[in-house]
Formats: sequence, C-alpha cells, structure tokens
Amino acid sequence: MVFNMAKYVEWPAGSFGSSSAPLAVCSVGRGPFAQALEPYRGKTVLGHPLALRRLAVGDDPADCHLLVVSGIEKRYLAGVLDQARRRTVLTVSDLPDFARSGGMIGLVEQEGRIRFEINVKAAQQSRFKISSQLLKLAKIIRESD
Amino acid sequence: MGRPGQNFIRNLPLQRKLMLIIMVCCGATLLAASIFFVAREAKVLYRAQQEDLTSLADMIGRNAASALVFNDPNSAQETIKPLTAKSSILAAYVVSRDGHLFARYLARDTGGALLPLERLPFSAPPEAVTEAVERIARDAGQNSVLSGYACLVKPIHLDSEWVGTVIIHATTKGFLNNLRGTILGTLLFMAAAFAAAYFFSARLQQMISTPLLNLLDTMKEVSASKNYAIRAVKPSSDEIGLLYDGFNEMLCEIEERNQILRQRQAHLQQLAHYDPLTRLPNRTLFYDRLAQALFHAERTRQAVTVIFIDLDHFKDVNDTLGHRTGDLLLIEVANRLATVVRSCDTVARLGGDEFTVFAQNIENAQNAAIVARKLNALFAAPFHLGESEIYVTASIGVTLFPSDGKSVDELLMNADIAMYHAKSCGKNVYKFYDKKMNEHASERVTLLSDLRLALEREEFILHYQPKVDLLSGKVTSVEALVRWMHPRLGLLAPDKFIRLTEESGLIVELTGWVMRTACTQAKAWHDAGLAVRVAVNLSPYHFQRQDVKQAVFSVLGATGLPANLLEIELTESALMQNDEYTCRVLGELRDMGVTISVDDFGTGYSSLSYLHRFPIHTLKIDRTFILNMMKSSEDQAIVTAIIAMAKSLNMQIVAEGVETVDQLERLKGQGCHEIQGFLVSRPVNADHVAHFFTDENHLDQHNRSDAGPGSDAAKAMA
Repeated sequence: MVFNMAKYVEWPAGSFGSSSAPLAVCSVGRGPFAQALEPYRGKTVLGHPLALRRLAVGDDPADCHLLVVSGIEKRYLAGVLDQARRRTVLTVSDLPDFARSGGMIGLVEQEGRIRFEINVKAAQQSRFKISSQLLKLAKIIRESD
Repeated sequence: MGRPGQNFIRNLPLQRKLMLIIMVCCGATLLAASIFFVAREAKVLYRAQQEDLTSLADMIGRNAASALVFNDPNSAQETIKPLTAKSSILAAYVVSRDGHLFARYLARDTGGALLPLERLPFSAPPEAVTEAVERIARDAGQNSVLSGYACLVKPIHLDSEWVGTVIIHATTKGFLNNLRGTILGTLLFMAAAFAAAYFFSARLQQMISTPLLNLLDTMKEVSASKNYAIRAVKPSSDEIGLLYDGFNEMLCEIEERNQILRQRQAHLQQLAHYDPLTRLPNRTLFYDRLAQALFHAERTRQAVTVIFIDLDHFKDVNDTLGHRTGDLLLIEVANRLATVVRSCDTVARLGGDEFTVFAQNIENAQNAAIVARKLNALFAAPFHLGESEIYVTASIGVTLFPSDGKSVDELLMNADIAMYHAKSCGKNVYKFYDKKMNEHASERVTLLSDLRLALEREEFILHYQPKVDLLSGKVTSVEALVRWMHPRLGLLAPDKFIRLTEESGLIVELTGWVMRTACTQAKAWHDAGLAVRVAVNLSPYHFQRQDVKQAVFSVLGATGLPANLLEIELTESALMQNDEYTCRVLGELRDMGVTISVDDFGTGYSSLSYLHRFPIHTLKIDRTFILNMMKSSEDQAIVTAIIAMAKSLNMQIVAEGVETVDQLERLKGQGCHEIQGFLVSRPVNADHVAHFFTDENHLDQHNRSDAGPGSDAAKAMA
C-alpha cells in the first residue's frame, strides 16, 4: 500500500541525491502496517530503490523520505510528527485520525477496504505534491475538523 | 481458333474496336486506382478509429491505474463514466491484474452486437475473465467489420508495472459509414471518369478511324465505279498518310496499266480490222461491212457496186524504187481513194496493191461507171513519193449486186476477174464484169495447170532473133526467146505465160531450161565454126533468189560454151532491186567474159545516175520509143538522149523493134550501134537463124527489099 502510494507522491526538489538514489522508508513502532513493508524491500519506486530502516520513537528521521508510523502510543505521536515536519518526511500511518492529528496520509479501513485520509495542508506545508489520482481516492482532512 | 469472344472482337468494326481498347484501358486504370484509393482510405479510417480508441484506452488506463492499485472499483467506475457521453463506445471494461472485472461500462444500445464480456457476470471467476480478455486481444482488429464493432485491449501500467487491462468495444458504424461514403464517392467518380473517357475516346478514335473509313469509302467507290482516276485526299503525314500514298500510287499504276491495256486492245482491234500501212479497213472488216451492206441492200432492193482496184506495174515500182517507196505509194493511193467515196461507202486494202471499194445505193450501172471513172481519174496526177515523182495507173474491175453476184465472195471474185480483164485490155481502164470473162479466167487456170506439165512434156521451144551491127550489117549476137508450143492453143508468145510462170514460181525452171538450151545451141554453132553470141533473158526473180552466178556457172560448165559467147539480158527493174548484190554478181560475170545487157531500157524507173555504177556493156532501147520515134519528137528526144548517154558511158546501144528503113536510117544517123527487129528478122528457130551467120551485109539486103518481112502477126509474137 505504502509502496504504491509513494508512486503518487512527488518529493520536494533536492530530496534525492540523484534519480537513482534510494528512497528511504523508515518505520516507527511495531504495528502490522510497518511489518507489511518487508516484502517490498529492494523494489524501486519511480527509479528509486526502497531502503527500509527502523527507527525508535524519538529518533530523528533524518535522511528519511517516508516515515511509516504504526503501533505507537498516541502520546508519542505529536513528537514523532513534529520531528518529521522538521525533516520534510512524508508521514503515513494506520493510526486512527492520523491525518486529523497532523499526519499527512492516514490509512483507514472502510467497508473492508483500505481508504486514505490525506491532510493536504500538512503535505503542502512540507512541500509535497500528492497526485490528483491519489487525491480522488482519498478523503481530504483538514486539521480544524 | 481461339476463344469465341476473340473472333467477335476481331470482327468488330474498327471504331468499336478502338473504343473498346480505350475503354478497357481506362476502365482497368480507373478500377485499379479506385481500389487503391478505397483501400488506402479504409486503412486511414481504420487507423484513425484505432488511434481514437487507443487514446481513449490510455486515458482510462491512466485514470483507472490508481483505483486498481488501491482496489477502488467505485473510483474506477467513476473514471469510465465520461465514456457514456461518447455514443460510439459500446462498452468499456477495466480488468484487474488478478482477473477481476474491476469496472464496466455498457452503452444502453449495443446495436445488436453481442459483446464477449457482456455475458460474464461481474463476479465471474478470474480464469474465465482472463481467457475472454485474451480471446478479445487475439481477435481485435480482425473482425471489426464483420462483427460490427471494434475492439481495443490495452494493458494498464503503473511505473512500468502491469496493473490491469482496459478493453474497449466501439461501434464501427462511423467507420463503415465513412467507408461507404468513400466507396460511393469513388464509384461516382469512376462513372464520371468513364463517361468522360467514353466521350473523349469516341472523338479521339476518329483520328484513326475516320481516315481509314474514308479510304475504305474511296476504295469502295473505285471498285464500284471502276474509275481509277479517283484519288484519296491524304489527311495526314503519318502511317495512315503513307497508306493513302500507297493506295493512290496503286491506283495510278492501275490507271496506267488500264490505259496501256486499252491502247493495246485498241491497237489489236486496229490490227485485226485495219491495214497497218494505209489505215484502211482490211479484208476481214471489208468482208464484214460488205456482207452487212448486201443484207441491207437485199431488203431495200438497192444495188451495190463492188470495185476491185489493182495498181499497174506496182511490182516494178517496188523493185526499182524500193519497198519504202512502194509503201508510200500505197499510202498515197489509199488517201486518194478515200477522197472519192461517200462516208457510207468503204475503201479497203485486201493486200499487196489490191484495193477494193463498195458503194451502196447505186441506182444503176451508170452510177457505178461514174464511181469507176472517178477512181480512174485519181491516177491522172503524178504521185510524189519522197524525192521521186511517178505516174502510176490502176486497173479497175466493177461488179454490181445483185446482177453480178449475190455473195461477198462471188462479187469480189468477179470484180477480180473484171480487173484482170481491164489489165489485159491495156491497163489504166475500168471494166464491168461480164459473164464471158469468167470463161477467160477459167482459161487462165487451165493454162496454169498446162504450164506445170509443159516442162515435162518439153513443149517449150527457143526462137532466136539476131542483132545486127549498123555499120557492118553483120550479126553480132542472137537473143534467145522462149515460145510455148501449146497442144491446144498453138504457139504462145511469152506475154501469154511469163507472168503465170513468175506467179507460180516455174520461172526458175523455165529460165534454167532456156539457158541450157541456148548455150547448148551456141556451143553447137561454135563447134561448127559459127562463133555467135547468144543472149538469154534473166527474170528479176533470179536476182531476188541471188543464184544468178551459180546458174550461169553450172550452165557454162555443163555445155562447155566459152563465157564470151554468152550474153545476159536483164530489165531495169531487175537491175535496180537488190542493187548491191546485182552490181557485184554482174561484175563477176563480166570478168568471166559474159556480156551484160539492159533490156527494155527507158520503161523502168532507173535513175540514170545509177547506171554508170553497174558493169553494163549494152543498153537496149525499148521498142515503144523506136515505134513512136518517127511520130513523136519527145520519143525522138529520149532516144537521142539515151544514145548520147550510153556513148558517154562507153556502152553499146541496141535499138529494139526496128521495123522500117526510116527508123534504121534515123538510128544510124544518131550513132546507134546495133539494131534488132523485124527489119532484120523476126525470131526464128535455130536452123533459120543460122542462115544469118554469114559475112554478108544483112542491112543492105533489107535496104534493097525496102519493106521488111515484119507483119502484124509476126510482131504480136515477139
């Protein structure tokens, strides 16, 4: 899911050293969502090979392009998001109301299917461009809601 | 033969054939061009349709990719929804990678076509869907026209990863409509082009066919009218122009040959019916015309006179002046004859010097006599033939139809007899036919048959007439003269039968006999001590045969007579004909010692200037001059002239037919050398003539008796 999603996101200019530089996918927490990334290790997204890295809560997500947040306690979320916001990292999580909490893309299950909630404002603040193809499938979340 | 159609085309008129060729070429070209055009157009249209569908599929694929990836069928369905606006799309499907029908759009009206995925339920098993998709992909583009719809199968990729398939079915109605329009337009264009080609070919083929057909018309006209003067007007300078030239040249050739043929036919006609020399009708035409005239005269009971004209002494003219002059004479005679007769009368030349005339509507014999007299009068004027001017007379025999004969043959025969009678009556006269003449003519025929036997029966005898020297009165030579002792008619003089012997060819034998007999006699005299020369007359016939020398040789050889005792007498005409041969042979005879005399000198037409060229010893002046010498000063002048000329040419002069002492004295006075005639002796047999071979002066003897033994009876026998 995250793998495919990455294809619809455009990182700000200068995020990658080169066109074949690895896309660093970092994960925080021990949720099943983070576990699901394992099979995609080594695959490429738009020319960038996936590089998986585990981070502990509180670790600075420096050099991470995408941060998967899964299975952490709610009280740590703000700190993690704050760190990520400083480092221009796309944040994805299956935590409930993740987008509403300031995360960029939240995955929610709806009628047995995974759906997106995208905090467009958060993404735009970190200068990410999310494809309209993804947006049309997603529920757009505003923090004030 | 080839296919049946081949003959049909071959026998098609030229215009049709040309048009057929042009139209077939045009049609084939148009058809090929049209097929190419339609096929190309169809290809373009099909490609446009496929491109249309491809771009559509691309769009759908791109929009449906995220929905597929994130398994959002609703969103996918949303993506396809805009297609409903496009009427040409029958159905669109999005099939996921794992073979689920992910999204589907079906137009309300599929146009009756059954689409392959339509039957599948939405929840069909993935294998069935995959298989159906593969089948569609396989068949796509193949059966779009047959099935009535077009298919397009397009895989959906996301980041070069296959995530699903788009299948679009579109109606081909638009494509087919376009194609139909194109084909219709092409057909219309073809029809128009074909019509234009027909129109132009109908005119263009005339460039070829019209001149050929015109030539054909001309040919038909020529062949129908047989008018070879017609010419075809050349329309151009190409091969057809050459054809026209060739045709015209052939016509020219035919015309020329035709003309030559006609001329030859006319010439043949002329030859068949006209005498080529005088241009008078010939015997054939004369017989024909006379037969018609007689037929007509019999019905209208009219008289016709048939006149036979024969020139007197024509043979002499021919012999002495040459055949060319003879021909000129005949032409001139023909011209004169033609002036006398009326246009309804006919003058013809039967051959030789024989002319015939017939005149129709002659009332009586008096009128016929008028015609005859007119004809006779024609010969009064001299004939100018080249440089010569001569007098020629004609003997004329006249017959009358129906009294003297009923048929052409009878009339002509009797006219011939009458003409002969006229000739024997002194010539230059006309005679009417009399039945008695027929007896005379038959006498002639009898005489001829007698003549043939006469030589065998030895009925000929020789008489001799001495020639006496005027000064000495002695016999110098004797002339052998032939007589015919006819068993029934008695002794006949040469003038009764010589012409007959000449006509029958017996003259050769007769002359041979005369020479032999005379020479034998002379030899006998010689042996008896009487050396006297014997003179023999040679017919012109011998000079024609060119055997004079042989004849003389053989006789001298056979008889043993010395050549100097033989004398040859020939007439002027014999001298003049074939003069080269005559001159040569006479020279040879003279060299042998034979004496050469010219007989009857003055009656012929010899040119005096010729005379000195011949080796002649003696000239014998014709008796008619001697006879008339005393009465006519002109004849006297002639005698004087001849004597003077002969003397100047060193020739001996003998006067023939000397009958009186007056003549003798006159001749003596003129300087004539010898005389021959009744004054000395008439021709007598060998025994009698031998009495003259003495030394006595025979002239004195006559001088004493004064009147010679010459009598009319004896004269006639000379």
